[in-house]
Amino acid sequence: MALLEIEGLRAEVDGKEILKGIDLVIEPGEVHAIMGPNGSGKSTLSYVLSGRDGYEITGGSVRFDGKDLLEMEADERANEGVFLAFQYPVEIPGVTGMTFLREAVNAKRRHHGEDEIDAMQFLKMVRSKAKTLSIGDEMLKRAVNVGFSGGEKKRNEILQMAVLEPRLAILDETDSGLDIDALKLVSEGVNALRSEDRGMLMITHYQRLLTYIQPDHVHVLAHGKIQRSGGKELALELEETGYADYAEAAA
Amino acid sequence: MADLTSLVDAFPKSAPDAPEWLSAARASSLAKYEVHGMPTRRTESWKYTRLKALAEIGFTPALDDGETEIALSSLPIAPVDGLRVVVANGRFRSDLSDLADLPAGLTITPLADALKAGHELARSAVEDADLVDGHPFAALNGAFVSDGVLIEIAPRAEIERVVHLVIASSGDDAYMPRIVVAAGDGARASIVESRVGTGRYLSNLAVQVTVGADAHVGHYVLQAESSDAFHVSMTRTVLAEKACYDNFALSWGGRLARNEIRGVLNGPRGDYRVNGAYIAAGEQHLDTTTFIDHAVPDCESREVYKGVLDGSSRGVFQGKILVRPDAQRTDGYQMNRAMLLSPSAEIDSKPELEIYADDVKCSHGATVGELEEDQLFYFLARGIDRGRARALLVEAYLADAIDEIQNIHVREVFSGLAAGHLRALLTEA
Repeated sequence: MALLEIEGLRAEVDGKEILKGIDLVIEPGEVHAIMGPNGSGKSTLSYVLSGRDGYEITGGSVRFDGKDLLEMEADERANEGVFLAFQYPVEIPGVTGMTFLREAVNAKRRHHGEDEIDAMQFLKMVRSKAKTLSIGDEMLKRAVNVGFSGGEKKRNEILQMAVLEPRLAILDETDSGLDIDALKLVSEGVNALRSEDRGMLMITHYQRLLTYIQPDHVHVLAHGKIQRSGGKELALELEETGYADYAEAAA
Repeated sequence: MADLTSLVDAFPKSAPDAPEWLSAARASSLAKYEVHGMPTRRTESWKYTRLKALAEIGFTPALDDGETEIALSSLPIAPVDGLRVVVANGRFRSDLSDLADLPAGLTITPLADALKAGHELARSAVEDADLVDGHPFAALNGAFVSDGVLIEIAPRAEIERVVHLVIASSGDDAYMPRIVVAAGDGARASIVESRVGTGRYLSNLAVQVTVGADAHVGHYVLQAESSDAFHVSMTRTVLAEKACYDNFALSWGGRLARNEIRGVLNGPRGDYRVNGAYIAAGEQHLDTTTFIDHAVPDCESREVYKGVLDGSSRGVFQGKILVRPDAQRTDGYQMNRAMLLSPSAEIDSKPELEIYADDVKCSHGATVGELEEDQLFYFLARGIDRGRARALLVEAYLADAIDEIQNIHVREVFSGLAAGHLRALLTEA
């Protein structure tokens, strides 16, 4: 069974159609990249998949592990294994990174009928995962994303992903705002999470990220539709030609 | 029109064995009450808090014999490590209080005994016209004052353990306990009040605190009254030179509650702190009214209040700072913030600065906000449900008010209480 199966997905924001019939299948173990110009609907797709309010689904279907994803609330999707790494991670004043992570882990465990995690075991697990992303205890004690640099925010997203071990990770413009060192660190973190039963959907404007995290499939999204699909060479081709070829499709 | 005539008529105006001065003080308080009667919509300081619901209930006078069974363990008393002193249904309860082995310098006396004995502190408290002048509920309390507690902290005594006053009420009567706290020069103590109960009673409390020169008194109130109850309280504190008073109120109880806190800085270099957090839900009405009187130079006052309103609850915050002509170099800070969790919740906020001195530093601010959708979505996207996300965000929102509590043990207890209450309230839905 496919991990994610999107068929003819259409969605509107404030009465304006943004997604105009998306078809996409992700098998377990695959990494897909969706590239496209600004305003093509990339971020909308990531929000529709993760269940954010304010997007009206006007057609099509999304199946996740065979289940109807669109029928689930956002928190249920997350607990079923959908993870969105935010383009702009949100600041949560007054809630520490550790508290936030523990709440998320326990929410997932409760959802699956398991007991809450042992505090010591949790601390050990988070610390070891944080270490590989160069995240120290001090950062985990701070309020989530408050006063973090761009790189720290993105590393924190990958840490959450590592701790929550999703089935499907959606990475929304993960490279934005990162310098080359931070990009390497984040990419290593993501690559370490590639596995046979996990799918990934990377959303990006630039090819740059894809040299660090190599996708199995690349799709070009423009005007709310996937215009073209191919292997990783498609990303290199786009780097040469830009998105100009897809401009006339607007008409 | 709001009226408590039946209550006033039914209350025993004079105990047969009351000393003459006490009967006179009661009569004088009753006369003060009767000048205006219950506040109406036209009473400026009560215009946001209507007492119609209160007046419609014919409260019966409390003639508690001081032996009513009170299941303290079933009441939401603050879990502080302290010396417990219980006033139940208006009566001091020796049987429920930890009176054995009080630390040196701490004296706890049933107010009824102190009044009977003509104890000087009890007498001056009951005869204090400033408590009752223009304050109808405090005047009512004064008209019927008969019991409560007198807490004395001897000069230079440092009381390590918290004195934990439990003011419990039950049934559908009206109770008017009086609390008198006198801290001598250089004394240090922390007092926690748990105001709790079961039933549809009226708890009309008056608290008088005097803080001697160089003394430090922490005074922390958990107002977790029965959700059907009416709660009105007046706390009046007078600070001497270099005294410090640290007040905090955590309020979520009562159908209608008004917590009025008045402080007078009467000696130079006094430090008056009045902070709090309130959580209102359903149809609740929670009123916080404060008055800070800078009467002398070189004093500091600080006030941070934060409120959260859900359902169709209503919050009122009135904060007045008066800086008298002599009170040069006053440093006053006031901030009150409210967060509305529902479109039908409402907050009325009225900060007031009245400054007659020219060399002062006074600032105040008020804000009203809501939870941010992008923050909520961030929690949801990590599997944390809406109720829990709201509870965590509100807890974080209230944290900087709770952090004002100077006593570390009490701060931790109150912080845990707020978190627990928010989770129960917001994750039920």
